[in-house]
Amino acid sequence: MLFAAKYLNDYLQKKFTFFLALNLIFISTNAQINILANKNKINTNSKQFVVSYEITLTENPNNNIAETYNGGIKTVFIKNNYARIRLVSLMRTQSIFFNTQKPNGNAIATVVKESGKVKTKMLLSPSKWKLYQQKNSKNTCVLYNADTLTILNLICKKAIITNADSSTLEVYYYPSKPNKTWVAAEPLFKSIPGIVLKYSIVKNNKTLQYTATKINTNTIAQGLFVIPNIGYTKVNFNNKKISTAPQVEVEETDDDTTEEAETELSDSIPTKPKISP
Amino acid sequence: MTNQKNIPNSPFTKLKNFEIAPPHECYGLLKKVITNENCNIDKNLREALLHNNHYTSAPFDAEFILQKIKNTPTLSPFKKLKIFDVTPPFTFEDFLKLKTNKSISITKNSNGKVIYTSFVKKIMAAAAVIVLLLMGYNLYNKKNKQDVAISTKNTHTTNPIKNKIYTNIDSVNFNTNTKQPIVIKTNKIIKQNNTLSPFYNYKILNTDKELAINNTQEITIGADKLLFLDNDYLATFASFNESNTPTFLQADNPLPTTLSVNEYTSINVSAAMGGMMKKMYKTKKSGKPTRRARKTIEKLDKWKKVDAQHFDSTNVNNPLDPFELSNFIFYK
Repeated sequence: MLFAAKYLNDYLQKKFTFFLALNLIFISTNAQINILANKNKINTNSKQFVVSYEITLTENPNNNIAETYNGGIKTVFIKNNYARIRLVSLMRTQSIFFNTQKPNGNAIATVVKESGKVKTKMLLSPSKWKLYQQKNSKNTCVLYNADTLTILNLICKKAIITNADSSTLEVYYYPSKPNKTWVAAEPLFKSIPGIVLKYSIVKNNKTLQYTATKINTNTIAQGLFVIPNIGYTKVNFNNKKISTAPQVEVEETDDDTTEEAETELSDSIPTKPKISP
Repeated sequence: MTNQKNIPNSPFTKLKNFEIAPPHECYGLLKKVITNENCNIDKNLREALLHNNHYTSAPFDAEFILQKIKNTPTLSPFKKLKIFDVTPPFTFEDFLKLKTNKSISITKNSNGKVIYTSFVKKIMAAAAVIVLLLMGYNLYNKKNKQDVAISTKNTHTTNPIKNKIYTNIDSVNFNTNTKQPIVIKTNKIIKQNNTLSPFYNYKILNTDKELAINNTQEITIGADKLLFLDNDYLATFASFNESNTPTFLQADNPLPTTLSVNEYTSINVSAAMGGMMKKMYKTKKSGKPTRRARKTIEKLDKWKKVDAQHFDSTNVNNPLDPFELSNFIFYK
């Protein structure tokens, strides 16, 4: 009898240890997933974050100019009312500096070409910025809530943006409250109710794809949002041909000073997208 | 005459003190006249004239006169006359000056041939010499400065490509420790000789605006580190040659590689692009680029120009917009 009791005790201990160990492994795995998810999760109320996208081309057997953009990166820096969207590729490096506070006179955005022998910067007032982004004003957006994709351990939903030329952009976004500065700086995604983590466009049987590879919520140096001056030629936006003028650092007195206050963020207000049945 | 000679107060007697000898030619002519038989002259007078030494012709002896001046103290003032130059008469040179209103110097060479040299030509020659001297000084100065810059920059490079030194303009430095971008001013930008392509021939920049450089930008490729030329990857890679090719391009079939500049600037080079870059460095035995290398460079040049034409010449096109970028790269 005593022997039987001892045997049962040992058996239960072994089973318990086994189940305990199994449980610990399960809890640990779950915890790791949660930690990763939280780490990558964008707090929509966060004042600053950086999202990096890798640019890839598929179905590009011919070695053509597209290859110089293959492997490039696009980085979005957001800090309070500052935004900078930067493209780095073999061919060119270009940034759009955006600041709703208009630190450069009347300019709300500055397009800076950072690479090459001739580096340029183009200051845009709110009205000119609207013209610069005019192509996106006729875009339509359809949300597909049923289609999901996990990117950086975040479950993303699908949307399709169609432009005036009937070209379509397939977008996967992490649903959250859109960041106003980001929406203002990149109005292409103004209809997306969240943070875009992947988008791709197919043309001519070739695919251009942007995939988020890193989300960083660490403190961003303010220097990243300072528009470079020295060595840059100032160019004027005229909606047709570019005109190069000597760089003179003066406060810009634009003729459209009255309209910018209201028009400035009018484009940044998200339009209501259609939701697919 | 005889009577007058004997009269003491006669004016002719006083005049003998002011006697002036007639020119020596007169004696010869007089002798000819006297000896002529047709000459109607008294015989006695003829004889007297012929036997008188005063009427014999004597050659003009300049040596004798000079000697006499030298030996006679009363004639010493004449010695002083030799220091006075006599202005030459109006010459052909003056005539030309008047006619052409140009200064012409006339020199004689050893053969006695007259050479006319234009003053304008002399000025031009002098100017050419000055220009050559200035160019020489500039070249010398340039070389010295480059040597200094390279010696200071070598501390930043710890790679097999360290003999390739570049600087670049980029006022924004992605140094997260600083609040403001680092802008370092220097007196020049190093020019890297590149014989491959005119597109990548970078001029020496002089103005203050152009002189701002950022020393901290480097491209890291595995173990290699090389300075980033004008923030331009293609320009940076096009400036290498076969002897100092980055390690990842030395493989027969280059693998996809990551080029990293900083935390936020890190791009990937595909195998196809690596293979194309590798072709740029192929050289012949003579050291000149092969035809394929030249063609590859030309292709890159063309791409650069097409890209600049699309996105820079018209400022409505935005490469950050995926619609516009795809329209460009898939249809060019």
